[in-house]
Amino acid sequence: MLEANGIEKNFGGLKAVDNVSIKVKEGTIMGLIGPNGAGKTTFFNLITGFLSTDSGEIKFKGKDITNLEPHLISRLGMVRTFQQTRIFPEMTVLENLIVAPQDNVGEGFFDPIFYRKALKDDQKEKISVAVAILKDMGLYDQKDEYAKNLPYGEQKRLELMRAVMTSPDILLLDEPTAGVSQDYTDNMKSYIKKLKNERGITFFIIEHKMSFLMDLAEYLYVIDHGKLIASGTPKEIQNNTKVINAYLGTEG
Amino acid sequence: MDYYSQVILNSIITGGIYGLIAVGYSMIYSILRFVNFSHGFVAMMGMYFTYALSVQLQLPFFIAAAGGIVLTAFLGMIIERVAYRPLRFSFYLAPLVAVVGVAFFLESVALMVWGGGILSYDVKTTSFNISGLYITNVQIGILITLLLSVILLYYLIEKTTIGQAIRATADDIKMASLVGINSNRIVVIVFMLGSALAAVGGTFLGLETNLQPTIGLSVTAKSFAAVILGGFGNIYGGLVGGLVLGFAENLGVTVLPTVWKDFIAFGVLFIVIYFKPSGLLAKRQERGGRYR
Amino acid sequence: MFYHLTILMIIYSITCIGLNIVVGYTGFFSFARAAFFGIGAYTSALLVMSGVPFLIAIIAGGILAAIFGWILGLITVEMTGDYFALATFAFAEMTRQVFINWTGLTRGPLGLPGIPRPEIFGFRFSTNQAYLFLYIILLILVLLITEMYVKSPFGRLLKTIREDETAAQSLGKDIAKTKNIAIAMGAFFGGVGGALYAHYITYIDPSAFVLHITIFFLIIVIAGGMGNNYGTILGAVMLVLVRELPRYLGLSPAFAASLQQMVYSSILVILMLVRPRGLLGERKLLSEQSSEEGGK
Ligand SMILES: Nc1ncnc2c1ncn2[C@@H]1O[C@H](COP(=O)(O)OP(=O)(O)O)[C@@H](O)[C@H]1O
Ligand SMILES: [Mg+2]
Repeated sequence: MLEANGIEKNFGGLKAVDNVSIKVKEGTIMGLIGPNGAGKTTFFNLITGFLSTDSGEIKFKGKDITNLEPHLISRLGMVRTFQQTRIFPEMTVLENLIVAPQDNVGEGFFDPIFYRKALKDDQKEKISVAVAILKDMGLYDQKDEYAKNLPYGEQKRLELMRAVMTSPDILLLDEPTAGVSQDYTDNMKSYIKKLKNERGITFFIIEHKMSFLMDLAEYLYVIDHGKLIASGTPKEIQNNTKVINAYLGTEG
Repeated sequence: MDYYSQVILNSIITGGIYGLIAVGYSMIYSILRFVNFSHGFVAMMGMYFTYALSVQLQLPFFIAAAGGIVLTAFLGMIIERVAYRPLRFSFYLAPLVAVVGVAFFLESVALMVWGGGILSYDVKTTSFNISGLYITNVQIGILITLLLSVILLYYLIEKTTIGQAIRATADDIKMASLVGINSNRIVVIVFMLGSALAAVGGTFLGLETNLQPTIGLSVTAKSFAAVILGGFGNIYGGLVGGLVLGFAENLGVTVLPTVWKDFIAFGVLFIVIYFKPSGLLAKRQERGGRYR
Repeated sequence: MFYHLTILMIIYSITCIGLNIVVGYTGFFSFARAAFFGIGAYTSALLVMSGVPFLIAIIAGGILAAIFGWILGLITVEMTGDYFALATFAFAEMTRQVFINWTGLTRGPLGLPGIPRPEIFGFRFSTNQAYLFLYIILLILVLLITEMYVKSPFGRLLKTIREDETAAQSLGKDIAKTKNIAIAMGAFFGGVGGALYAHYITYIDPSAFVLHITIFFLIIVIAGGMGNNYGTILGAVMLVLVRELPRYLGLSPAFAASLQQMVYSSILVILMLVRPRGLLGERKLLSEQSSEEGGK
């Protein structure tokens, strides 16, 4: 469903992403791992149009989306989250969610004049969807709280829920568990599984920590210094000496 | 030919003055990412402090100017204490709005104390003619002091421990606090230093033209423009930007109808922001830099 | 005096409700307000002086301001924060230079005297009472329209731009277009406010559209409470009082002018120290109740 071929990106002299090719199959959970500074986030930025590529081609659902504007890529059904969580801090939890859907009625200039009734009905429907998700994630009690007042772990979950509200085909998560407690991590893991099973959402997840993806992902890509150094099932990756060296190399 | 050398000389003088004021401004900006709207008004106050000491108290001009600069540095300290520090972690617009308040407050103080009329320093000027180039003793003094100020500033920033701490704080204020730099103290020093530079520039402006309490706004606008031209985040960017601005202004008058001068100045500013939003000196920046 | 002050409050309220759309809801610090105010004022004044009916002229003033706003939006679409502020400031100064130098149209620094008072369907609003009545109706209209917008999903979309443009883009929102609409809407009300000002004061010249007035408008929005239209009206009431009352104390005009400036700048600083978000904060528009309804 998502395919990237020979992607490159330079920052000045630094090759942040160097000839990386990946494929994400529909209905799977795929992972992208690598030590800090390997170029994972940059790769996500390239795929989702937030950065322009120097060379290479990105295809999504058979369409060429290379260097398309980010909001257009999002509208095709590929939605991402950010490593440094980007919620809407001065909006309530519920507002954060109901602003997300891409088929919201009333976001155009003339809508509030011409579609008053449709707009109201649509809002009601979106609110009920959001409330259902909030109950699901145990965040319902905080629905009228400003998002900035949530603890960090809850903010990460809110960002994920907000992405889900857009009804995406594929979700790209950038370190969904960075800086989050073990409880939240487990909760996140089961939520991701549930989303995949119940809504058929495909996942492509960046993690710095390998453990999170080991029993979640079906297939992993590993990059280091911008280069793809390995790919395979979590088992294969675990025993891959190149990968072990890359991780030891940066930590030791 | 002579005409153009004269224009170039004038450009260097006005540009240097703008540059000096702008450097004070870009120091504050590069460390705090804070648009200090009151900066031009502080320069205006420096201009009047010197006036008060030299004309009203009859002190010799150099002593008066030095006193004016010191007073303005303390004014900078007070502004930091009253309007910036308490708001540093408040709502993001609060410090900006507060310094807008401070700026207009200073202007009203100057209007009350010194009135709205045009004043001037009591300094004798004699004009020299150096092979067709007219220059006054005041201008020579300005040029020398400008040069000295820049050298002193460079020395202070690059060669002293305080300068090192300032640079470290400018790079990354959080990191600087982690390695034990007292960032609060640095912020105060920078405010004082920036205000002192503004006072030097303000006094020069007063010497070159005259004293008016309402120039604060245009000085703020010009130093803002100089910093944008020179590149935000680079302490010396303002100096280059100021020079560019000085040349643009003085050369502009030679080729364009004077009435459209300001229109073109702001037009140039607009175009620079559009095509080169990170300034002339800044390192080339990736457009997506803000996407994490 | 009562009528005069109230009318000024209304004119500034209308203008600043427009500004609030850009500053309060969309989160962009625009310094172009004086330009839109001026464009509206000159357009409407010149049109009425050449025989165009009052209502059409003020709307034309608003529309021309909106067109300039739209163009400004197109140019500044990639700018954020300080750059946007500076670009809008440069735009405002350029506009003012045009007012000063296009003497054939604006008479430059001499200004336009004798701007006719409003006349609608043959009824001339010449007394201050009639004026107040007319302007109150216009304010209510503007307030209703703006409230409708900011409460709608469109308004919520504006807020996402303020909160985090990048995140909004990641959700598939067309930020550029929305931002442009916001700036144009804000400019429209700015233009209408300027037109109303011109027809009330009956004289305009370029010095009425300097940066000071932009700052004054910004302070109204910020002091009242950003992202709250009622706060904006409160801000206008307060700032007009602070600014105009010293004139009635029998002081010398110059002293009164600096005193009023001193008072309002001190209030500004104190306000930021005590209530940095302004007197009325933003309201939570999505109430408990409506979500309960939705939940069932
Ligand atoms: N906008 C940018 N400009 C310059 N360098 C960047 C930019 N974004 C990332 N980098 C650099 O590219 C490298 C890869 O960064 P990143 O993609 O964030 O790594 P990861 O997400 O794997 O930790 C790092 O060395 C980082 O400093
Ligand atoms: Mg990363």
